[in-house]
Amino acid sequence: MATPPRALWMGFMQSAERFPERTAVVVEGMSISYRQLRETAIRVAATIQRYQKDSWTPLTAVFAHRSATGFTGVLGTLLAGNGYVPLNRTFPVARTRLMLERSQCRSMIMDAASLPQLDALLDGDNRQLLLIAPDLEDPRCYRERWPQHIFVGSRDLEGHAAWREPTLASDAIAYLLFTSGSTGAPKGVMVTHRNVTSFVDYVADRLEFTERDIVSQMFDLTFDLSAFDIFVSWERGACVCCPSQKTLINPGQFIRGHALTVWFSVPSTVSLLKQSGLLKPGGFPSLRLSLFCGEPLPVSCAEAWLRAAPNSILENLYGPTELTIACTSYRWHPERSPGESELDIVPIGFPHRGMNVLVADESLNEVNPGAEGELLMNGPQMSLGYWRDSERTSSAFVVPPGRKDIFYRTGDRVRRPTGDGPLTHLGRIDSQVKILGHRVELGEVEAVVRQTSGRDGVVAIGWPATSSGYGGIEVFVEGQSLDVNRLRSAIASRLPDYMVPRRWHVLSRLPRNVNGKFDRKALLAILGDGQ
Amino acid sequence: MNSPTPDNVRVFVADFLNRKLKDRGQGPLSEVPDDYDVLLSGVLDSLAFVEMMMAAGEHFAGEIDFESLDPEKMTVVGPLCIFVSEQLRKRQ
Repeated sequence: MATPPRALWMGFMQSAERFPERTAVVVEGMSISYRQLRETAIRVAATIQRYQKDSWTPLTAVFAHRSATGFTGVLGTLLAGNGYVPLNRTFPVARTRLMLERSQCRSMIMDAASLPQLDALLDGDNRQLLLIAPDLEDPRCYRERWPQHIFVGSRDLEGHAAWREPTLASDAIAYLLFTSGSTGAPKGVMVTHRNVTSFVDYVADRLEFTERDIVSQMFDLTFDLSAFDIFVSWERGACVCCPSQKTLINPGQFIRGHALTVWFSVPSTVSLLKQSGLLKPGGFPSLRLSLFCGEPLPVSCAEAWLRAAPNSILENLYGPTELTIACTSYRWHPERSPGESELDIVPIGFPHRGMNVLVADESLNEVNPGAEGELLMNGPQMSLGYWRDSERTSSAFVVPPGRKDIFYRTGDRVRRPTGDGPLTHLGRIDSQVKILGHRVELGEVEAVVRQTSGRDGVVAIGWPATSSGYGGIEVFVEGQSLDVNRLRSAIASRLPDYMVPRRWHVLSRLPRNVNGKFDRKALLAILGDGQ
Repeated sequence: MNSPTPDNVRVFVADFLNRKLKDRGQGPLSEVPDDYDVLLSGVLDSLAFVEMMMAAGEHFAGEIDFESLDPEKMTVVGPLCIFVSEQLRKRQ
């Protein structure tokens, strides 16, 4: 029989015992101690347990955005024995509704600012739902509006004594996170307690987190990297510092104002800070760790960041949601790393403890050392697959020829290391396009444009589509005006003609998706509009 | 190129917001009052706000010192237009 996993809430509860008065979270201008957060979360958990029926899916939606209730909701859900499903009021409400319906959650925790979307979210949903609004003292008007649902406000939360510590099944889900699917419909990735605790144990040890750390939370709950900030910090009694939407305008002020010791963001934040003149040498002396993940980290961004945060160790993390937060890491070394980087991008490094790497060709056979291929991985961080979608699960989670175990196909192109070198990321499998019969890696074009223009924000796109691939390449560059003619001739001396971008689009800021990554779909729409 | 008076900055800001709304398939704002918060209204996120500030610098051929920007106040149209106008005039 499979042994039950260590529950994800255990780290928090142990820290709450050891450091009850230390700050667990700074959010909405408030400092919430471990003791305070434990008390409210237990009451929320007990409330879920009181109303939850055996027939309900063991998942609870957390509809909250950068609020105390978001943290209480996540912890309370876990303490109830459920997995949390983060929802985000800054998403289109139709998408949020689709996530709520697909997850089949019967309970939801909401913060005050998300309540105005309830009408659009619940209209026509005839299932009985448990709706917990800890920010709301008197939910009477909501009860009258939706008599079929159970509304619980702060006054009606159960007491601590009613909470029962749940027993977890070996594959219990810690969170169900929806990522965008290629069909346009979001798919829910089932990440278990075992997955996350494996990650947290390894990372908290390796990066030496302590109760003295003050950790940024730049990621919304709907981006799985937020689970790093929350659970690694709580494991060691550290403080998670969640900036408001307004504070995000000037992350530098945020770092200095809270004397952050750990920074974790997407690399795009670095290029934006550079452009707006906010990345000044020595500007962030309090940081001991600077972590980046979510998209390729250009060498120029790593170097500029380290000049601003000279006391910090910089690491580039890599990992799809399906492999739980991040599954490889690379520590920047000023002398060695530029030579280990490829296409001007910092390597993604080495697999986390217990994670196995397979770099494979199109038939999923392992390629030779030094050759390129698709990255497949398995190990304790590999998730269960997609929620109630066996078809998509079986196409992404596969047993390669000659292997016995299931591996997850990341869709990322990497170079298989030679010797004990790091993995280098070369782009997405689908970023390799055919231009006039030639196979072109768009990442290579982007690297050359970055180097020649000195700009970090660069996206190359195959355009227009033809029957055999694409007619050429168009490039988007972030920033102010460029001397395109000079750049074109500089690039023409380094790339074959078919790889030289035909048209250049200089935008003051490249569109980003909700997670802060460059939004290729939006750029394609710009090209489409221009036709 | 216009001079960066508060009124001209307001025209620029309104135009920028309406372009963002158009991109999302939404109609333009009927008015942009002094107390309108471009962030809390949901029209811009923090990154788009920085983009707007940089675009203002480019449009009026000046520079904005982001370091002196108070995020709590500067997302409200009235103070924002005055701040941007002062910054751009100083650094044109």
